[in-house]
Amino acid sequence: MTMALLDVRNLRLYYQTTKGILKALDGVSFELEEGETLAVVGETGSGKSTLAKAITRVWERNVSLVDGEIYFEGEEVLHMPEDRFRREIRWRKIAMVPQASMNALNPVITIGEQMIEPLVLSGVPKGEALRLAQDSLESVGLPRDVVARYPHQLSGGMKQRVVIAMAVMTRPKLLILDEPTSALDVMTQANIMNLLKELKARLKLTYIFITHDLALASELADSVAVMYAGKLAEIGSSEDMYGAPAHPYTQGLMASMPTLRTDKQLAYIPGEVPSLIDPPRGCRFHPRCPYFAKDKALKGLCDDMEPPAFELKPWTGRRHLAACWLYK
Amino acid sequence: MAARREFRILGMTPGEIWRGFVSTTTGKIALAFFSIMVAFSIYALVALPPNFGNLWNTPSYWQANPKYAPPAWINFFAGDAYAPQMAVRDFNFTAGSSGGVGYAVIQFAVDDSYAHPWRNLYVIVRSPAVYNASTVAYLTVERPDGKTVQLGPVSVNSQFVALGLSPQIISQVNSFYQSNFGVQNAVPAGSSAIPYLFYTARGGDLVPLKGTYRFTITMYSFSGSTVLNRKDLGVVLEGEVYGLMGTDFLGHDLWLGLLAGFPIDLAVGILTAAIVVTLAILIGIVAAFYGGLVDEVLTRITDFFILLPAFPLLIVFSVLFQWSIWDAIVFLAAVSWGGSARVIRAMVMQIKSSQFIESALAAGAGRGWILRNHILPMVMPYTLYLFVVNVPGGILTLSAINFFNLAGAELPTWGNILAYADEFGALTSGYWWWVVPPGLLITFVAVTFIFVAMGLEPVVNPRLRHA
Repeated sequence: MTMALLDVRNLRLYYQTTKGILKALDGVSFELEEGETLAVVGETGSGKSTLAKAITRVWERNVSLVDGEIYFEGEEVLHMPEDRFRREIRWRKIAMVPQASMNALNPVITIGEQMIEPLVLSGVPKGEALRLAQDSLESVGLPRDVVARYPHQLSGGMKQRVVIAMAVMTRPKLLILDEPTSALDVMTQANIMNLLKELKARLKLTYIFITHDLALASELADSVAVMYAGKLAEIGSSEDMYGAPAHPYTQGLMASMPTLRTDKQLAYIPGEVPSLIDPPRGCRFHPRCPYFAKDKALKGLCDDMEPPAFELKPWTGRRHLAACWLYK
Repeated sequence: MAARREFRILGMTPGEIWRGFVSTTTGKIALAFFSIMVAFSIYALVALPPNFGNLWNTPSYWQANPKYAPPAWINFFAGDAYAPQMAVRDFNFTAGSSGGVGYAVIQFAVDDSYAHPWRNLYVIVRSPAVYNASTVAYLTVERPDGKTVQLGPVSVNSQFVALGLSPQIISQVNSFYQSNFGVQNAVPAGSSAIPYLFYTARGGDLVPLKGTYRFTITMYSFSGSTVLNRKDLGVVLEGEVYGLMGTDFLGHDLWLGLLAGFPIDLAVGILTAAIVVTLAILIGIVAAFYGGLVDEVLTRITDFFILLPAFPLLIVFSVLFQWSIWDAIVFLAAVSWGGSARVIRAMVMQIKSSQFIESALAAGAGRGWILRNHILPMVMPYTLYLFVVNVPGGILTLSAINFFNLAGAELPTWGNILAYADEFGALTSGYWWWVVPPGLLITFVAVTFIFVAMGLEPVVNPRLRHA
């Protein structure tokens, strides 16, 4: 097996809040091959965005613990000095399209000024930075003169393209997309998805695509990771995940997805995402788990011990892992 | 390369800002009001003499004006009943000397068509050489009924010689009525004799006699040399009504006083707002941007100033320290920045947590960079708005302080005029022209700035703006 582009091992990120320690990420591990698109799905508060923040190292100020390892191209980047990370990795190799890109642009300065900001800050001459920005805008299908416009003169889809252009401006290898289409209408969403596909092919990008929309994820993803309460519940290739979801939570998610042809009763998972400050003992999903509720034999196991990731037999080349005692 | 960079503020060209401002009715009204105000201020600065403040406080300067006279335009409604103030300019003048006595003859005619004729007649002497030189004046009036009144001599010994109140002239007018109409004591005690030159007696009652009156004033100067020049002499008929805005207790021309109020009130408002906004920006940004202990301390200080009773303190200090209006402005501004600072702090707090700041930080931007490139450009339009909003407050407060006859300026302010109006019972005596215009003007200026603020809203608030 070749060396993975990104190798996350036992990543933990805790926040200090007034109510206690919030375990936003608690032991997340996965690998990502070059050229792969990994969709990270999960409910609100499951730690998806925190994962993106951890990989780009832009966590909030009240962080209390950052632990684990992240290898990017074989090099540990999580504990690298911030200065070096900023100069060599962030934006240059790992770029991020932030959530709610409507708000990612300063309304009172021009698109050009915002796009070149990170370049200018890292010492690139302004003229060259501006040319890069224009090239980048062109590559996402926007006219070059958008650099002179202000955010309020652009539509939502155009703003999203600008944010994507900002991210790919420095030709990164890994692009983290944090709900890139969440506030857009369906047509614009489709446009952006097509753009992302096209960019991926042209620029040989690797994506981490964070979304709560499973249907949208299926559009782009080679593999899917399902997060639940700060942990990875299941990860595997799209074929495995959509075809044979193993973890009860994944199954619940899949069942809640509407389909066009078949007239099925939409299922939902009762209960809600547990508190990350005081998560349930054992498997974090067990209070909502239908198997746990039915099967008396699981008592004393699921509600007592955290399940490790069990290897399942995959259909395709990618490893299929599920953190569930059912697969012991 | 980049398209030609236009000059833009907040993503809008000056033309767009202009169109945004005048696109609303409020903006149009604001613009009209503001232009009127600025025009009057400029006119006041140009038209009023530079020492106008001194003149205003020199009662003798206004001596020839009637006191408590309503504006002349009330004749328009009252059917020309009141004789307006009249400075006689086109008089015939002859002068000479014979036998060591200099003389001057002033001749003029006035048409009297008023039920209330002129109150008094002043001979104005602009050269001390004349009134120090034992000069006397005789007055001859040829009336429309063919009768002639001979008055004088009156000694010309000051700059303003009021003929009507001289006992000699009163007795001469009385004897004129006695001998022509058989009326005793026509001039009531304490009253000026001049109006009675324009009356006739009909059935024992005095009624106005309308027509043309010819005045001849003959002056003799016994100093030997000829000191009587035309340019040194003037004649004023004191009216029942005066000018555009009437007069007050001293005969001040209220029109000039109100005019002088324009630049000073504008300056008061703008200066107050400028200091308030500067302090508010500094404190608001520093508090929000540095956070932590700095924020805590500055926020407490802000709270303190918000709660401080500025107006009572301003009154007390104005009395204690004999403050001028400029001292009062500085004090007022120094204690009223609290609210604005809080608004700016809240705004910066919000901006600070926005994504583009996070991105900039992640890209390695320092505090100075973020302040310069992100925070200031976003805060500036609001500070313009805060500035405009703070102007009327300053004007109203300073007017109120002036109304208590505190914190005086060299120039009369509207609040000051109102203070005297109140002191001399203008309201109870019905001197409306002394109260209503300054009150309206204060309101006008406050409303103007409120309209400007409302008109600015679509410009500074991107959410109210269409792309």
